[in-house]
Amino acid sequence: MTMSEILWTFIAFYSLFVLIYFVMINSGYLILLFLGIDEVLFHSRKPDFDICDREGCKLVPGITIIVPAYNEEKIISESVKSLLDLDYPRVEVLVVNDGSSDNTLEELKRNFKLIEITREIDEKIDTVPLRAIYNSIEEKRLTVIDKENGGKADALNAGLSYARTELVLAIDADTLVEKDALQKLVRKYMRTDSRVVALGGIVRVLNNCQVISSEVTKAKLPKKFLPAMQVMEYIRAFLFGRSGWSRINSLPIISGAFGLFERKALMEIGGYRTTTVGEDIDAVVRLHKKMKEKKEEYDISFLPDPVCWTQVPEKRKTLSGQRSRWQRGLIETLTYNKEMIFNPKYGKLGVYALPFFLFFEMFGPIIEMTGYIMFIIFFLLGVFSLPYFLLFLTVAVIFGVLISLSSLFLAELTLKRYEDPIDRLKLLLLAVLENFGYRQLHTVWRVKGTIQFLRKESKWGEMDRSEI
Amino acid sequence: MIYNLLGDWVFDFVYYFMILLGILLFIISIAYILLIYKNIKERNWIEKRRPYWENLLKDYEDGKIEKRHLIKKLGHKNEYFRDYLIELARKDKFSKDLLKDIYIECGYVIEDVDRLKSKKWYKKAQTFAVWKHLKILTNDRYIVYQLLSQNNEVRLAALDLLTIHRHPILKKKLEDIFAFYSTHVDYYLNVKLMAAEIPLGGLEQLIRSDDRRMKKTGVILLGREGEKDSIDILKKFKDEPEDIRCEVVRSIGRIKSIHGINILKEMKKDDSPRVRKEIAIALGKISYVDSLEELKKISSKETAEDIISILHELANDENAKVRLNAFLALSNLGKKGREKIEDFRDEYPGITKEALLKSFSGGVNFDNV
Repeated sequence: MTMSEILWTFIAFYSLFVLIYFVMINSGYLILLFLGIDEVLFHSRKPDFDICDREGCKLVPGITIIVPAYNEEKIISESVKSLLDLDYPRVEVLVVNDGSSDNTLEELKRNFKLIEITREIDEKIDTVPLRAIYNSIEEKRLTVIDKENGGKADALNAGLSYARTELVLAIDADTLVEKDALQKLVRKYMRTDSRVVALGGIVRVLNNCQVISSEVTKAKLPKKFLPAMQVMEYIRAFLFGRSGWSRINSLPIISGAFGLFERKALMEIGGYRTTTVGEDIDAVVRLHKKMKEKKEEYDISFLPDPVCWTQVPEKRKTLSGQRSRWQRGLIETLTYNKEMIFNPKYGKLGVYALPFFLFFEMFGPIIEMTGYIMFIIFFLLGVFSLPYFLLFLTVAVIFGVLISLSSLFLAELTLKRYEDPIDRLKLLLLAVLENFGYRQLHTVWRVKGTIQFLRKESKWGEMDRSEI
Repeated sequence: MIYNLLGDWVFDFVYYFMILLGILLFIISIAYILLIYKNIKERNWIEKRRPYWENLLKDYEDGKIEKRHLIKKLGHKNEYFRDYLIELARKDKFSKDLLKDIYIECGYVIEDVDRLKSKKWYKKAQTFAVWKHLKILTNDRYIVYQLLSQNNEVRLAALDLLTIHRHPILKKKLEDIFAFYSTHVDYYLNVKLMAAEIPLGGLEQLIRSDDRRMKKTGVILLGREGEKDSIDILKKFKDEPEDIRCEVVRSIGRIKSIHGINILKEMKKDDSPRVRKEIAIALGKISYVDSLEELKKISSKETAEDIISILHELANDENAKVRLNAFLALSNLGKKGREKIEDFRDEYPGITKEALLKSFSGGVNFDNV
């Protein structure tokens, strides 16, 4: 075989591989889209009921909201106040100050009059040493744990050990939870005919929204390009991705910014894994694993209507760090739980969801990046077919826009959060623009995350916070 | 290239697929824009009319206009006004009776009854939800029939509607209602049925049942605040299996009557730490009082001594959860409670400190945590 023949054979096989991969990924997305539409429509048709009336409210399960806080002095007090004000009869807030180097703890002490206590617990997950535990004199439902810095998962584990309620809600400090969100989550928890171990709600972008008394009174699209683009991404990821997986009870991820868990179930898996930056996805995958191994009927779901609002990065560097970290977290989770992939013992999660995440989310960015490189090489070698390339590119772009647009359409049909018509049209425009530049940039960040994983980097990265 | 290898048909296929996707994209884009337009138009129309509707309702409430004038001004069967009425009912902005009256007068209930004939589950469930908000109960027999619907959402919506009206049929249908679900939903059914405030006589069928699940439900539903007569019935279950004993104690805690203390005293040495923990919580609930008068009522009688003595014993329990809750309950008993907490200062310094802190700041409301 001559060099030329080898080259042509390689090009042919590479092209065939890309074509098959392209068909498979888009078919996967299409199926998820249909499943997601079905799930969202089903939920949107459910009537809104109060979770309890009269004496019945004394029977609802208690919830501890665990708020891991690292350098959150700007927002922590406002965040705690809004959580204590949620519309749910039995709620406690547990802030875990994860060795902040700023005045997070002092802010809490000043605003809530904290007094040091020692709390006795009967089962504990190992964490880095605690410095002190505080209770608020003014607000009895607030407890603050001050500990050495050990990372988010470690802070969540400390909170989990000291929580006393049946349910725990893990949220980020910069998250604003809508007043009725807990009721919606718990309603699902109580009404499901199997053991519900985890539930996730929809996370939306807070930047530029009008907030009065810790409540989002008017949803507005951020003025800056990067956060506005993330609005589009969040709508798509939650409404079609998570809803789709939830439809077949194979949801492998519940956002760390907003997830309700049965405390007992989290304790059974030993809490969050501290050696990964993707502690949220890893915990959910391990919950699936545990329940499948116990052969117990269970449910892990995503609900499209309990809403929380979170600040997203506005700077390119911060966003790049976040996305690289998410990619690292995904790879770490798939590596830690590799025995589940393609394993029918773990049901649809093992056979469909995890392989999907392996091929299209973990390897996807590498394959996409290779495609761009190959395009340059083919062009330089003079074997580049312009009509084929253009056709391929057009189909990819149209497909991407179609998925985004379907999610937007679904959001407009059911949630109707953005009031300004200009904002809604801008979202349409962003759905198209996303494919030219942003998507490629996103691929680069995720490849960076893959390289960080291979180099065993474990840094978390910075997050820019502004006051709510 | 694959194009060269596989020939024109690949190119043609992808080309036509692209055209198809393009058309689909175009249609969805137009539909999206039209949907935005429709939503905005609707919203603006409603926003303009809201103040007008609100003024009309106020005038009617103040007796400035008659009902027939109100209905005439509103226009017959205006679906947006219907939604507005429902929204007001949920926000408790006007009296429910007034809103319900107008809802019926406007003919919306007749439309609702038509909607119930639909085969679509959500139309039934949504109608029941609206009726719940407006406290409307009509076509009772149909709603009761829907308690046994094949659709989960319809069943639960019917249950919700009937419980808010404390419908007497519920006591007869309890076993049927539970039969549809696994025990995972018992929690929710109990929350709902508790709101139905089924009279004690109506719960007899449950508590005498041989089915442990039904018996447990009966025990739970007996535990309503102030329902002192339940205590004598609950006493009979103190030798049942652990899960039922736990519910007996929880129910006594919810009743919040000093009459329950004797049973708790008898059960304080229960083998199960879960039951002992619940005893501490129940005593915490009984002794947590908001008003000074109530506090006096407890602390001036020997019952206060009884509570303190049981909690003192539980505060030294071998089980950490029992101890923790006993300490927290003691924090509800003022100075005497604090004295007992102090007894354990050396043995359990941590929880002593927490309980003292809680005591000085008014105690622990076990209903909220």
